[in-house]
Amino acid sequence: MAFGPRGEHQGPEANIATQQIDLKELQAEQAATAPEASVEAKRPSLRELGQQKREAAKNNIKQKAGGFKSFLSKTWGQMKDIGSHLVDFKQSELLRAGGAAKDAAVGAASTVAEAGMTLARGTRDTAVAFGGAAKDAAVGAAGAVAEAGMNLARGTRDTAVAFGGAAKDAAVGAAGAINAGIDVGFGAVSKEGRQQIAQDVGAVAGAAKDAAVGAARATGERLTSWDRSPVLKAGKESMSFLGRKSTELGEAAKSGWRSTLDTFSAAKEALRQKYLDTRINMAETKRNSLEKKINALRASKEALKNVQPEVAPDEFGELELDTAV
Amino acid sequence: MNKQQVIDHIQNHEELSDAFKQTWIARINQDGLTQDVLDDLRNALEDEIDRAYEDAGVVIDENDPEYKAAYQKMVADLDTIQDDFEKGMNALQVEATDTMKATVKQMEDDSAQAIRDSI
Repeated sequence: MAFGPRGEHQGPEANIATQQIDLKELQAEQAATAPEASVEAKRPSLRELGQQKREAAKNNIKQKAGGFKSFLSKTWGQMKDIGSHLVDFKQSELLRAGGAAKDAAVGAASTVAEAGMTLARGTRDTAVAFGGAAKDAAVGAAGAVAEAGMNLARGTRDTAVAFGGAAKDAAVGAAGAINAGIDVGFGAVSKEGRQQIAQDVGAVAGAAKDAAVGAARATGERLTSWDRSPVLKAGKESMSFLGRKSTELGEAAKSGWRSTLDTFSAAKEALRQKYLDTRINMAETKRNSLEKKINALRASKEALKNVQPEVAPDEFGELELDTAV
Repeated sequence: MNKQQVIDHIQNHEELSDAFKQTWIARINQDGLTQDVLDDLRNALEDEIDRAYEDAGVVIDENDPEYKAAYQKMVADLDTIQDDFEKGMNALQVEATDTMKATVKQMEDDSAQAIRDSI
């Protein structure tokens, strides 16, 4: 920036102004040598307070913005943990349900198989007992008939013999028929038949078990993928959105902060210009040197105002959210 | 200006001390060209301007009404900026908390439904 015109106040007014400044300097010197000077020196000046205020405001924005990013990350972590916990809970529940279903199926198969075996044993035993009784009865009947025939034979030998033979043949025939029936009974519960029953029962149990385990696995796989689930994804996007909003807020605040400081700087500059213009006794070379320095520094400051940062600070950077569940 | 150009600008500055140059070039190289670095560098230049005036005997009278007014305006503006920022951030925090609660509830509801479906 350029300094204002010089020499405007090189009249009586300027002298008065210069005297006022000199008087202030004198007062300052007196104050410095006064007994209470040490106490006064410790009191911060407005400039120091202003710098503190400037730094405090900037740090507050930085800390708040950075803290919010941490808060969002922590919140996301909590959501993710809860989702993960639900997955674990769900998996354990399903595995338990699958195990119970499998146990029930195996139990049912075992029961059916046991029942089948019992039935087979029962059928065989019944058949054997029945066959045995029928045979005994037949034999007994045959014996009785034969005995009767023999008794009769003693009376009418030919008739008795003929009758006994016929009766015997009939009894033997009946016994044969009963034996055939026993064979038929055994056939119904034969080894192959029992194996078939066991196979059928096992197939039913296996199918039930596979269905239960398959359902558990399918649901478990679905749940372990919850980091890609719409709900969690929406939650993550919300956190990212809020992170971007906080960045915008932070950048707006920092922009306002910069603008405020620039305004204050301009006010100081105008004030100093006014002071400088009253310094008619300042050597030309000294003033030129000061002007050159101030202008160069201010030009640098102005040039940096429009420089685009190449690295985003942590507190305003993109919110990084860990997606691993 | 990019990072190297800023460094060159400082390095070649006739009005800056070697100590200032070393400090700031090191800071830029360490932190990169962040907005914070740029802000701090501009503030450091402002401090250099203050110092140059003071060295020349041009010291702002802190009792000067114009200075007091400018100072108070700066403080008030910074307070307003901070207050607005705080309010905005608090609102976002509430929104984040509500979002988390809603998301968790939805996940729990879905989980409960999945369990019911599997039985």
